[in-house]
Amino acid sequence: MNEELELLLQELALAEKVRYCYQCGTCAGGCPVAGAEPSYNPRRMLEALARGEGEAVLAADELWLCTLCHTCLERCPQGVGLSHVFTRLKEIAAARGHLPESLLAELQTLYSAGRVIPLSGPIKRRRAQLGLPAVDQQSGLADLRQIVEATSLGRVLAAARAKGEEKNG
Amino acid sequence: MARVGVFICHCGSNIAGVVDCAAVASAARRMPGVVHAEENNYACSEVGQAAIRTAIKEHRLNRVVVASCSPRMHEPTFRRTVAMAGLNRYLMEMANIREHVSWVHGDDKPAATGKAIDSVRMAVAKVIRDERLTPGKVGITKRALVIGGGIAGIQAALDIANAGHEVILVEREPTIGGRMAQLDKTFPTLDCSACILTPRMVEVGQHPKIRLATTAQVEKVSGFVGNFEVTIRHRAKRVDHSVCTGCGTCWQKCPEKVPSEFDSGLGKRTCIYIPFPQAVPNKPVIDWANCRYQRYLAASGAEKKPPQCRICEKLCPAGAIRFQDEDSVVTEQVGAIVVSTGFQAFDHSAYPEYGGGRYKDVISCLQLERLLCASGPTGGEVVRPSDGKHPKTVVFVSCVGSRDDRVGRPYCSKVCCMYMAKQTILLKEHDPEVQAYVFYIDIRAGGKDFEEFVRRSQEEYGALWLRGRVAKVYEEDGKLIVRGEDSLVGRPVEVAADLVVLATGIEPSAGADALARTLGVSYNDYGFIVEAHPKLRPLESNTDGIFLAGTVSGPRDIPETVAQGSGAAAKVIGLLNQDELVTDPMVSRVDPLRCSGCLSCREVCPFDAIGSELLRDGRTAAKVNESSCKGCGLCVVTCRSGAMNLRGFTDQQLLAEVVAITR
Repeated sequence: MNEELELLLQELALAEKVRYCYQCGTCAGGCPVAGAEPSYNPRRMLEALARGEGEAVLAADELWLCTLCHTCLERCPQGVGLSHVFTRLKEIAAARGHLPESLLAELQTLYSAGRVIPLSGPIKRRRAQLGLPAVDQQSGLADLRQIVEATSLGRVLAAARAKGEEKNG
Repeated sequence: MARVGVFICHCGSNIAGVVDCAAVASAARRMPGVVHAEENNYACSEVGQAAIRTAIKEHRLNRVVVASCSPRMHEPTFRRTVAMAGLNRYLMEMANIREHVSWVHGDDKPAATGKAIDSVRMAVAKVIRDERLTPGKVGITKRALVIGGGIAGIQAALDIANAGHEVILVEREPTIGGRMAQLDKTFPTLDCSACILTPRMVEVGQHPKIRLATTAQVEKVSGFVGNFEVTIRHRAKRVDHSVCTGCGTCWQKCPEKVPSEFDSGLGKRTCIYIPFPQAVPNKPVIDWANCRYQRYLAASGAEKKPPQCRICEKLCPAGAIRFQDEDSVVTEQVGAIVVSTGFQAFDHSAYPEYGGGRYKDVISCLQLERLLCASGPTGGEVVRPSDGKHPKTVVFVSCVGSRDDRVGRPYCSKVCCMYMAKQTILLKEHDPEVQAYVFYIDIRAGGKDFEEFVRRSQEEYGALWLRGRVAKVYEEDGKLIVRGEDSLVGRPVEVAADLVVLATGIEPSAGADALARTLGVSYNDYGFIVEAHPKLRPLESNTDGIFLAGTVSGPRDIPETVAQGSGAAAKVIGLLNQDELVTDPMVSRVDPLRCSGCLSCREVCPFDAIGSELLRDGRTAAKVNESSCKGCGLCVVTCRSGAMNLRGFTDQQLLAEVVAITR
């Protein structure tokens, strides 16, 4: 297991009581996602972490199914901060370039266009009809790119690019 | 002239593995006052003690230091040893070179040896200033108080009374019987609970040595082991039990109905009532807060008064109704106290995801128990509280108020798995069409015939046990949908139930913590009273003479509770069979010449052990009641004029110890 993940798991063991899980299944039973998609099971994810299979949890697409409704966290009798744990794991996965394509596409659009939903012909027309001022596409774009590059978003983007090249090359 | 002998114990390798005991012995020989020092493999063994006695004779020792373990372990042992050799037993000091040295400094042996030598030097300095002390004697009141009349208190009271000692049994409710009286059957034998309990209750009611005080509470406790003074408040019953015949006319005719506590709120009772037909005493009390006549009196002066009612008074053939009855407060002298205030079921309204009390058909296990019981509100018919229909699918939810940190109950209540198994069996026997589901985290069935009993629930009675804790219960089309995960399969499951039963856990009775403070005994975070030692003194509180029985100290089942009742009784009998108690002489002493009579010591004394006396020269001085004093030393540090001293820990001794290690 890589060092970063190991450190994170040590931190989560303290901050989010990951090791307190006694596998009762309250999280999985109450999870709205697990109800719709049985392959997603928060109890199993905690079990895998306890078994030292953190890498597998990071690599699994299911990690990204958590909607952060926090029901599991509210109900856990042992006070494990499940949704917080999943958020931290997502951060590491993303930093390695492992994130769903839809999210990556959003991030790339943000970087290239300055907004998650880029200005399109129809939007411009609609703005004109409503009498809204025209938007300067370039305004603030440089600043935003600087922010992305300076923060972990830049790491995510770079990692995703590297992974993409690896795949293509 | 002090002739001190020092005995350094190896405790096998416990001490000798770290501390250089030979070096400690040779260092001890050079200490002032020491005439002899020797090592010993196990000083507490017969051989070791004999060596100490021999050395006392041979070297004419008049003071002894044993350097070994904590005085908590073996101080009484070595006191007896020196006493057998003819020394006053208080002329012995222990230097703790195990817990304080070898067990904690294993990583630095030379320093550990140095610390051991310092410890011995301190003990030598102290023992030289030890005085001969003589224990006092105090009489015993041969009467016991039992607080709480559940099965634990009943058992304790009967055992003590049968041994010939008088017992006062105080019960808060109008009847004894406690939680066991509410149960239908008991696991794992399916004995009828009332059938085995009520004969004991009757025995208590009729026992010549037992004074039963129902609707009564302990308000104040003072004194000490053998001589407690207890203040008991007898709440007004408003029925004269010396006249009442228990004929039942009043409670059949009383027009005011309120939810019955005995039926866990499922049935109704009248306002003049006995909680259940086999109640002891079998005479009613008036629930004054709900009584119509009370409301009439309270409305005096109002324009529109409610009717006077007073039907019970009119109809009572014995003329036993006493509306003007008031609380009475009496003090009693007792020698020993048994605390058996038991438990209450956890209130499941703390669980919003299980309805938090909103759904009528989500009930507690105690309520199901009342529905199963032939003397219950439905005469033994298990029906849904909402529509009175017979439920066919019943889901049990385990660990409600147990093993849950969120609601402050992280402990296991121990009995729930078993009573769920029992109830699945009873449900099937009531109605063969019932399908029971039990959601559990773990099945905890540790006990004689317990595991087999759970197997019977599964195999003979077809209950489906699903491993997983229930996440949510909600209503849909007249059914209760229970969602959880079957964690053995790894999938969320939903069961559409007619009735949901919550296995509510055990928590201390309301007010148990306040009573513990009144008694001066410790209790834990949850309000359970702490035992003097969890393994070796499970029936004693940390206050001498106050004993524990049943669920007052933690979750327990019936056989264990009964065993504890008998065990606590044995402790009480052992105490009351003595004619006098030996008191510890290591208590505070006043020097009247120095005492300024400010009596600050009296203010701080937690044991009410300090009074005052008028000296012949007209001054007032503090006076210590040596049988109440526990030797805590609070008065010593409070005293401004240095007049207070603790025998065995005098200022001179403590200073000598300080000087010994700082020189």
